[in-house]
Amino acid sequence: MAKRVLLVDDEPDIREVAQVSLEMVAGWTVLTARSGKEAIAKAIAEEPDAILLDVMMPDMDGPTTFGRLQAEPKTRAIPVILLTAKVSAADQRRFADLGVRGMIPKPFDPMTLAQQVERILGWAG
Amino acid sequence: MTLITSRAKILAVLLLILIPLVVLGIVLEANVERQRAATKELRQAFEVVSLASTLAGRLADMQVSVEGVFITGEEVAARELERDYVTFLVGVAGLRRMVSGERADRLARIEDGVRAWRQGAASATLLAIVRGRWPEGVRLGRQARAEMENLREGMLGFIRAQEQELAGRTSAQDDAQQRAVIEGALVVLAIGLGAGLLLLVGRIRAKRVLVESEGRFRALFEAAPIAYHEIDTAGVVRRVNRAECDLLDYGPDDLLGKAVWEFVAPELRETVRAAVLRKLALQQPLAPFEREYVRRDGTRVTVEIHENLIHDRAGHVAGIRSALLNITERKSIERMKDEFVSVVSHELRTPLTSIRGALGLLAGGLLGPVSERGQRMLGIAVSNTDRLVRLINDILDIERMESGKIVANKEACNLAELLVQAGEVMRPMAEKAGVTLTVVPLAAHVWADPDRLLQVFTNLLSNAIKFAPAASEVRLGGVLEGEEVLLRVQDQGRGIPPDKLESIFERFHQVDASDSREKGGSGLGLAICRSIVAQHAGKIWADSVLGQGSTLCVRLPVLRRASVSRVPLSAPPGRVVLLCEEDPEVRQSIQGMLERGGYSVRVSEAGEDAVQLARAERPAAILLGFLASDRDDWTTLGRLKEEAETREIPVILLSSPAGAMRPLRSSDRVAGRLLRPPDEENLLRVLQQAGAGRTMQVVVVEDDADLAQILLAIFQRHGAAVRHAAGGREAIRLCQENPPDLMVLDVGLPDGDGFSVVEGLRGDPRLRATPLVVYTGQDLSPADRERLQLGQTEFFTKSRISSEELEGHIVGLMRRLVPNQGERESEDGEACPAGG
Repeated sequence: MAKRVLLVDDEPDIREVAQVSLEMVAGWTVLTARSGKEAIAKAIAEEPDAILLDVMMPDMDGPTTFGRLQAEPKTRAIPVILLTAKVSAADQRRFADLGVRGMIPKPFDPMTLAQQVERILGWAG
Repeated sequence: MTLITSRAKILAVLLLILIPLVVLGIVLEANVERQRAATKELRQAFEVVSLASTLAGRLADMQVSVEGVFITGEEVAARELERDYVTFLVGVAGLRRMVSGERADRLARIEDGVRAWRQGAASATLLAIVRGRWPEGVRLGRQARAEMENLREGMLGFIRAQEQELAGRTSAQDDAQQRAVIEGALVVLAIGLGAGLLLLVGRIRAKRVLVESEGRFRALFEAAPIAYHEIDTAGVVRRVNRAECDLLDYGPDDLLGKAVWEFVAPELRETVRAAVLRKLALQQPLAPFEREYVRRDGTRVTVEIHENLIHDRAGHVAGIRSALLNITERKSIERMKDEFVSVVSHELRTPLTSIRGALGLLAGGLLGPVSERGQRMLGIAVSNTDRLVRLINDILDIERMESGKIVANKEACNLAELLVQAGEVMRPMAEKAGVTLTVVPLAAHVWADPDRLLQVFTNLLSNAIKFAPAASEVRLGGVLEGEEVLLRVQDQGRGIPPDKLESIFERFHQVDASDSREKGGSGLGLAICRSIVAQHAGKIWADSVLGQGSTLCVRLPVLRRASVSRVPLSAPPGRVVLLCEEDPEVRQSIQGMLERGGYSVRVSEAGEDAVQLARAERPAAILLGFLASDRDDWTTLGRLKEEAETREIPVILLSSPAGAMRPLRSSDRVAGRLLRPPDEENLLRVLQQAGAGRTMQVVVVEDDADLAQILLAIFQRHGAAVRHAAGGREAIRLCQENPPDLMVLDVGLPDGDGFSVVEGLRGDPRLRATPLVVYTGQDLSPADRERLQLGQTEFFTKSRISSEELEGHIVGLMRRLVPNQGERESEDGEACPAGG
């Protein structure tokens, strides 16, 4: 069965590119959210197989969103991968502390995005 | 006046010796002269006296002659008289020559008197006798006698006077001699005084100069624009200058007399205290370091501290002088710069993501066919976007490296593997450029960060391939040169002009403005390589022949094999336990336990053997099996405690529960007691309690240098042997080398995460049950706590715990793992009252 992935990013262009990439390259079903708030709501409602989460978002940033997702029993077990341009060592440490499954840096190669997700989550290719 | 130079000093001393000698010589000479003259005069005076005495005798003779006329007759008398008279005259003449002045006059008078007497009374007397007029003769004779008496008196008076003078002269002579001696002594004294004065003056001057220079120093110290303070050997502030007071916003009275660590942030106080005391004890000031102080109003300042030891006159360490540079602003600027770079790079990356994404999808043909031209255009767009991304990455990289943020995680790397890997990564690019890539692996090991080294190799290869003409060869290889390895990337491109060989390693420098930019370089590659190579204590440079090609060389220190080999598991040497246990099963079982606990075991029978073996081997502890009723065992114990060489070795008794062993007394001096057969844990614990145990081994895994220092200090303070790993890979390596008794792990690590460390350790049966303290920045979910369990695991959140609390917890943990000698009872193993 095709994987269902929730994509969270405040930049519409990035959302579109990523969605096209995952849908066309891997054939996954892609749900999108514009903000942390929307992400949580959608995650609870749709229970996706994975969440691709941008870090820098206004209002509620990635880490905070992740925290809320973890607090919510319905979404606690959904693996989360951070999609981010913040790649300094300090940031990486912060993310590792959080407990997310992994991190994909921006800009990403749209042709291999799905592959990277699979590798991190241990999904069969 | 300037200080006396040492040459001048020597000259002065020489003069100081010569001049008095000369002066002394002159004075002595003068004295001798005087002496001689005086002696001469003295002699003369004696002669005068002597002659005068003779003359006086002559006068007497003359008188006798005259009076003898009555007996001898006129002729004889006259003759004798004449003789004496002439003699007298001659003598007096001579005498008159010897004297002068008043004395000469006196003599002259006497002479005249004698002449007058001769011609007068003497002559008349003689005449009277000749004429036969005896009574007249007698009368005249008497007159003559009376006159002569006078004259003789005069002569005698002259002699007396002369004698007096002589006496005076003699004493004067003595006086003169005395004076000479005194003079000599005075001269020497004077010289001594002179020299002394000179030295004193020199000293005073030197002292004045010193005081002046001290004054200047103090003025400098006081007025310096840099904050200074001096602390004594107890860490108490003894001197501060104005700048220091300004820096900390305290008056001098508030600072003086306080310990220097009172002014740092409270959470750092302990660490700073320990560090300062250690520095004073070891007498090694640190290279410049940073520290945060707290001002009076509570704000913080970051300072860079440069230190020097202060020595007292005897040469002992009397304290530390520190110069503090306020780098708060610099730090904040650095932080701002980092933030700026980070934010900017993020801001740049975001739109790039969209561009790259869109282009990528198009170029990948996912969205429908694209004309050939279109494909080409898209290719251009994609590659340039990639180039932009690389540029941003490189800028970030080099910015972080230069500001020291990137800590290389070094480990033992197999160079051959890295070289081959680099080759593999660059092969596609080489193929596309039509360049033959040859990699000659070199079997060697280096201590390096493999990712960074790979970055260097791929970078160099990338450059080489870019500049190599089609169908040429690019070669990657190396040679071993003694303690170093020399790696080379050779190409057959157009070469590098000699004046550019250095500057190509600078940022954004291209050999030729026209080319490499076309080829997609960011201009930072070689600068990054240089940074990385520098981090690995190596050298990188370029050799080139214009028109023929270039060789990029990297020199790195080689890792000697010995340091890579695994450290054996056993305890440090010296942990020998002597086991005296007759029951073979129990003995074997205990031996196994001891060996597992890291001890070496020596076995012996009880009795004399045990004592001898103990004397020879000096084990860390003796396990003595007791058969309750056997008196021999007590004897053995007694013997062990009697012998000076074995008295101090802790003895642990192994007794049977059923045996009726009398209760132990402190006089038995037994260190512990176990029931036979002992439980492994108890055995090791009692051994530890008895003082035979190993030092506790701890591994701290923390990449934040400051925090690591604090943790290391805590453990060292409590007597553990602590090792530090800044990254996950290193942590695993340390644990594998020598399994620790406890590990402290910061979950957020740069290279892997804390999770992967735990996972790695869990895979090793030896390390699976390592007690673990997890120290994390943010709360962990229960799921994550699951993932982080090893042996007994505890969790602390950084922001919720102060370092004192952390220390308390850690100490508690240490105690629970390995109880110290304070504890006592337990069920089947007990420590004995103090004195054992």
